[in-house]
Amino acid sequence: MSTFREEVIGGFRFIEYKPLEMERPSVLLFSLPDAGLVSVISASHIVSTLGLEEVGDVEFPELAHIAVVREGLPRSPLRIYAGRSLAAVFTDVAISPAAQVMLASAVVDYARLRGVDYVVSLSGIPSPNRLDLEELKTYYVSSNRRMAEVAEKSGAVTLKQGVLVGAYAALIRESVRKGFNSLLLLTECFMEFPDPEAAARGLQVFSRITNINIDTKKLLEEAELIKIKTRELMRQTTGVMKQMRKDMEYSPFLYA
Amino acid sequence: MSSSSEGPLDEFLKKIERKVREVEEAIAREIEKAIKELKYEERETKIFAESVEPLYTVRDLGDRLVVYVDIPYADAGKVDVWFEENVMHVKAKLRSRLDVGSWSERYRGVGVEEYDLSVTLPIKPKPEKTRVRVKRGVLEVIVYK
Repeated sequence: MSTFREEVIGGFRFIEYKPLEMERPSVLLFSLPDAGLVSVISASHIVSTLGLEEVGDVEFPELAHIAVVREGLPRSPLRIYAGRSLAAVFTDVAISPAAQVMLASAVVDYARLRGVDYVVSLSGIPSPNRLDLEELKTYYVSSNRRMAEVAEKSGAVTLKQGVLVGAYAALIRESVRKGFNSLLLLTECFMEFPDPEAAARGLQVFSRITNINIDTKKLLEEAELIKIKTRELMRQTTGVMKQMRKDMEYSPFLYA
Repeated sequence: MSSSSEGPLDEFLKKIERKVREVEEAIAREIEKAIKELKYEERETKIFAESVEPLYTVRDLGDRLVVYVDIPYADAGKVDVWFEENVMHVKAKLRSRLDVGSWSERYRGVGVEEYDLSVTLPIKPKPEKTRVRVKRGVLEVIVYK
């Protein structure tokens, strides 16, 4: 596959095999393993059901020793997909907390440079009572008022207070600092178990935000198998979450 | 000198003996803790086989321990939980054999049939103070202290 463009942003080499040309408003989905693997399960479902095309790789020394093989061809574990108005920067490999923070910042810059209108991350918010929750809520955290309105119109609820730990916390803080449109959608989930049901709920909200129809029927039908398939990724992700003290999210904080 | 009439030297030696024992016990506890932490930090990927270890988590809620075990695709009627001293054992049969070879060529011929787990708990559970349920493919075991 020949390279169309290569650019190093914040230590990450973004390699595109095709120009990233998207209709507006364009959205970049940023996804890496986190609580309940909500993000990875959602992004993987979007890529397969919408038939997003692999248009690039992101190289980083920490991941240089890993190759993901697809149809006999090696690719980076950190890949770029694109469709008509939606692109995704996606990895299904657990990466270190430090690299996650750097990557989140680089993704904001990448989106700005490519003229993307906004970045969305579909993740989970661990709930200690998840087993007994029948109706899952999707909360949002936005980088500005405009994105908050978009989220509210689509059925997401404001996360009034709490603590976020991980790449998505870095993404939203960087977006505020750089004046970029970003939105985190956080659906109630299990912390240490893959949660396809939470992914499906988050996708419904995402679908309303982007006006892209995403059928979650298959995702729910295959939920149990997805949970088994992602068991090892969840185990590794739990190790990384422990390093970054993800459990701090359970702690209520006092604000004046 | 009779054993009943201990002098200040005997008292002193006994005191030292007690202290040495305390230090030894403290060291043993620290080593045990370090080994547990090392195990927790273990990163190696567990392979799929006929029997696989499910994901689990233990929460201490003060008056009780709650163990959650993720057992998707298990037959809810074939989940066994039993205790030996302070070790909790779980065996759960899958609804049918899962052909892992269809996910990856590496697993050609490998099929998963059951979950198998043993967890060491910090207390010895009493059967009459234990509650078990399966919901959404998650086994919840509540062990009251």
